Amino acid sequence: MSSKLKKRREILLRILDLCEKAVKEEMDPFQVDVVQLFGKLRELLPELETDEELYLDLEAVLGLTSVILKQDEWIRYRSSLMFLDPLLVLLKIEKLEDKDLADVLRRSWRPIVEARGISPLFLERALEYWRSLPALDERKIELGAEEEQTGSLTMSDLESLGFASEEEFLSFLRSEEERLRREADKRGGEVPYWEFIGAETFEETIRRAYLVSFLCSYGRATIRKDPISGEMWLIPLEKPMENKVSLAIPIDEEMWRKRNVGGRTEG
Amino acid sequence: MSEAELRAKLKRAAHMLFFRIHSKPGVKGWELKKGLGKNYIQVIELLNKELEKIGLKVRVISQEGEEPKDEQGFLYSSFFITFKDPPDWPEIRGSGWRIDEMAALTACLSLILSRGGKIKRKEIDELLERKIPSWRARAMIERFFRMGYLSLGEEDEVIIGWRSRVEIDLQKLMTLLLGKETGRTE
Repeated sequence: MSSKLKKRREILLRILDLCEKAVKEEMDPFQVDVVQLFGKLRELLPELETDEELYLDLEAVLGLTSVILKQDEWIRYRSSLMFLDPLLVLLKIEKLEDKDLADVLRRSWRPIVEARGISPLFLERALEYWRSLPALDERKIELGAEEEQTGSLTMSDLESLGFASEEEFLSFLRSEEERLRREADKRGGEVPYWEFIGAETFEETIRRAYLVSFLCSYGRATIRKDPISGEMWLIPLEKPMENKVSLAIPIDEEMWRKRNVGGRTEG
Repeated sequence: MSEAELRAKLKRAAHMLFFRIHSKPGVKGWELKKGLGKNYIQVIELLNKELEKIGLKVRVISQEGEEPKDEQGFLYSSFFITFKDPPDWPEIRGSGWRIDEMAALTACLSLILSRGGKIKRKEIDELLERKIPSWRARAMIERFFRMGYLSLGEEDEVIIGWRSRVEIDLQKLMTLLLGKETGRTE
């Protein structure tokens, strides 16, 4: 490659790089001297020889056009009433109390009103569905395949989870309780359930879930469930609660994979 | 159109707008046209007058988050029924919103607006985690996403969600925020 060709190629690539940075907002679009760069491209045009050079020239022209559009967007935004100094806004957020911030939302808020109910059409469709639904006896075989099987753990199952004796089990339980209390202290009293039991292996996750179930049964902790999102939080208790509610939490390997990435929950 | 016909259409318009059909509230202009006929905008205007008497109003928002300008724009815009005026505190208390959730939403929206309409998810997390525990901040942000107050834009940046554009006067929110005196509560 001749030195002239190499130099021309370098200039074109540099212009392209500059345009890309401005478009991606990695730099101020006004730092790109569009007029000067178009002048440079005009000078280069008669000297371009190869298809690649012409292609790069075309890309550079398009890139500079995008920079102009970005500059236009910037001016429109800055000149609009919506432009505010981010630092000033951040300062306000930091200094204002929750009540004041909430009041700002309240005064600019007009919530959507909607009704949820049953229409005659909905009822008609529901009735049609019910009529066409086969009896449970007829569907039993199909349902059976999807049912989740539950059972009890034997001593050998416990051994496979790493609990060799009752004493050892109780010591694991105590250390798990301490871990829960430490985490809850750090996080303001509650720990997301899946995050707490999540571990790098499925076996360890099951082991932790098993210990947590005992902590809840012994009244050392409780689970709070968000009825809307279904998310659960573990709360350590100082003394057992009076009203206990039973809660079954199914865990299988697929669920563990979905929820757990290297010991951290996704959702 | 006879008065009886108009009454029937007014009733149908109210049913269509109040009753949630899709997973997201709002009825498209073309759906209203199909249900109410070609004069659907006049029917909606009439309904609006009726609703204003009880503190509600019909709001129309285009896909770009603005008010439609022409007939074609109305067809593809969404129609909602919203409060006519901001809710009072007792109304908010009954709705289940908590003060810290409202404060967090104000903080998220104002920071996004001050940054030109988009912000990295990490920045939102960090903003809320300065005042509330991280697990609660994450739960709140997820809720704002689910409700449509925040949304994910290109390259996973957080942007203003459709619900915020419909329900919140964003310009007023910023003016009120900057006008609030710090260091004391009202």
